[in-house]
Amino acid sequence: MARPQVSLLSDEEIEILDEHTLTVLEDVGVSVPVPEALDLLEAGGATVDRTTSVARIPRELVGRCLETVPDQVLLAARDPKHDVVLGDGSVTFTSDGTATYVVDDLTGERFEGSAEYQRTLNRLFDALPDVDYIWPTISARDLDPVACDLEIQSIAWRNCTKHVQDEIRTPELAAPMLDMMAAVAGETPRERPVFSQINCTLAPLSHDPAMTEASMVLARAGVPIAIMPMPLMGTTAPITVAGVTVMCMAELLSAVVIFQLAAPGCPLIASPEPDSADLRSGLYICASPEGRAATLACIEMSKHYDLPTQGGGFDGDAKAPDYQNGIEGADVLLDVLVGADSCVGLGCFDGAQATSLATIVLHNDAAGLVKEELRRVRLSLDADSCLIDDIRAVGPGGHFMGQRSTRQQAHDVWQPSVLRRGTFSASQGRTVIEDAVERAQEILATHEVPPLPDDVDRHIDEVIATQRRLTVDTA
Amino acid sequence: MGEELFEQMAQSVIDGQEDLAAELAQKGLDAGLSPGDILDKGLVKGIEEVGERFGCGTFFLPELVQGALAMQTAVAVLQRAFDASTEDRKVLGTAVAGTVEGDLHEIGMTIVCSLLSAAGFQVTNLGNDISPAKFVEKVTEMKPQLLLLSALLTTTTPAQQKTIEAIKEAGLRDDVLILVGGAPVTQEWADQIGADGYAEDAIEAVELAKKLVDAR
Repeated sequence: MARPQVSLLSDEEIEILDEHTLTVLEDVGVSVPVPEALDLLEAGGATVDRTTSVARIPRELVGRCLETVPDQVLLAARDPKHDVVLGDGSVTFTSDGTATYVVDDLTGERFEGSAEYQRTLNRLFDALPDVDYIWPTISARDLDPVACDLEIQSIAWRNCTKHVQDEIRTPELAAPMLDMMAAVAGETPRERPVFSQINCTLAPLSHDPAMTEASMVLARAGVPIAIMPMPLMGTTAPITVAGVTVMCMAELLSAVVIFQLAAPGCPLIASPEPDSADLRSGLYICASPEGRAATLACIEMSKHYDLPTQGGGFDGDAKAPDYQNGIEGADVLLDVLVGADSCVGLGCFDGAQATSLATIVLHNDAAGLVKEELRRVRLSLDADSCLIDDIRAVGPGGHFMGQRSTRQQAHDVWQPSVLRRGTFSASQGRTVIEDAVERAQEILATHEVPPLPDDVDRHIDEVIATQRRLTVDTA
Repeated sequence: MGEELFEQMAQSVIDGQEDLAAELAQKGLDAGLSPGDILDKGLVKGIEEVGERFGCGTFFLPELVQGALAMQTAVAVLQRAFDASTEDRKVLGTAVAGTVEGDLHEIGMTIVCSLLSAAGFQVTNLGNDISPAKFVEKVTEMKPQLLLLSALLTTTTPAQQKTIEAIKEAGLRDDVLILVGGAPVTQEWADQIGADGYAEDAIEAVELAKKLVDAR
């Protein structure tokens, strides 16, 4: 059954945005300081200026490349029961990444996150039913910078059996990453990609050479690439919703072209993240209405191009998992209704710079609520689901508690893990935050993640150690 | 004529009119006005007004950036006259800035440099992906009071540390105040690597820069 969907853009508006996006690619172009990518673009029909590394991409090439992008993407998990397929009609949620800080929910104290804390969060994510895959949340500075991109993933797989999505930022780490993936999955990355790569473009209209090269290697091996432009309205992007949408989609489509030329048929995910800049301080604003509108437009445009799509999520600018955080995350339902196959952002606040145990547990409940709401809205219109016989049987007045259907389906009704129901007096003396922290601590005290097989564990350590040695030797 | 011209110069900066500001600066020189007077009585009045309006919230970053650009373009016209004369250009302080090696993000540093410039600092923005050696070269050459190092990725923050170490090895550490910033940068990190200061946003960065330069 098709997912319920709304459209905020008219057909004419989609056409206008599409036309301007393609015109920007043709007339303005994108900077791609990667010689191999420029060679591919030129051979594909783009006009390339080698002195500026700018490629002007004809619409025909864009169209050709879009045709070879698969409309579903497997995000395989260490434990196959957690496999996700983006684009199969389901809706999934993933944690947010690159936070610097952890906040103690009970004291309000903020401290820098660490690799050890990330282990804890990964175990929590593993246990929570509505976190479908993960972006390791903390950018831990206490990891050796030489191989930290690899170490972060090893910490993820050792402490969570779900799919991992993150960034491999330099090409020399791509091969070791593929090696680790194969060890964890027991199959090739193409068959079971237990990792997907986030490729962030650089606004405006530029590609990070090191990350692009790494992504090309990974794409060729069958690793799904999530293309994540992050333009900021008013600073690195035009200030209008339409303007940032055009530019964001131009960056996104240019990456589609590069990766399809490098690896035709490679799985790609659109993950547009346009946002606003505070035009007083320049700081990133995660949840402005303008940025949210642009995100919704970009999701619709991505689906117009038939791309599996990740949308925004629960993160925002609140400084705690408070009322503001709730409001800011509330419109994740809109992302899903306009077509996002998944939502990124679970677990963070303060412009995705901070996380906390309560935030993760509360966001998990919110994700469950959204999934259930969508599931319930899919009405199957027949006499059975309308329970017409029950209505006839009960008639005017009376009640339905005696009906078999009520008995049979009563236990299917969604229950939150911490969001509050019950009487007012029963909830007194404690806050929902305290409940959420307690829930997290219960989970962490009891939830065990099966260890990786010893040989896989050792192999991962060897891969990381080898990479460290290679980096030191060539330094 | 002088007064009227000074007012026009100030207004061109307030309006962010780069070409006009440069044209008026040249007009002033051609009329025999000193570069110091053009700067202090004309352009600086304009940028001070820009700063005032930004401070009270009626101007935002675009007005500030455009005002700073107009100022810089006009000052470039005056620089030749300054070099040829015995007059010194009065500034609040001097700064060299850049995003560290391996990091291509520069919007944050661009905003900080604009705010510093508007506040009266002479600022040289080196751009992105600047190696420690390049920072050492520029600090040696330009002798700034401040060195600003930006990093937007956790993986590039170690380059802030390497840059500070390179500055120390070059014997320049006592000659320059070093400020660090960027999304993953924290006060703890700044303290750990021996920076003189850390600011969480561009507005704080300017206040900190003024405070450190005053205290020196």
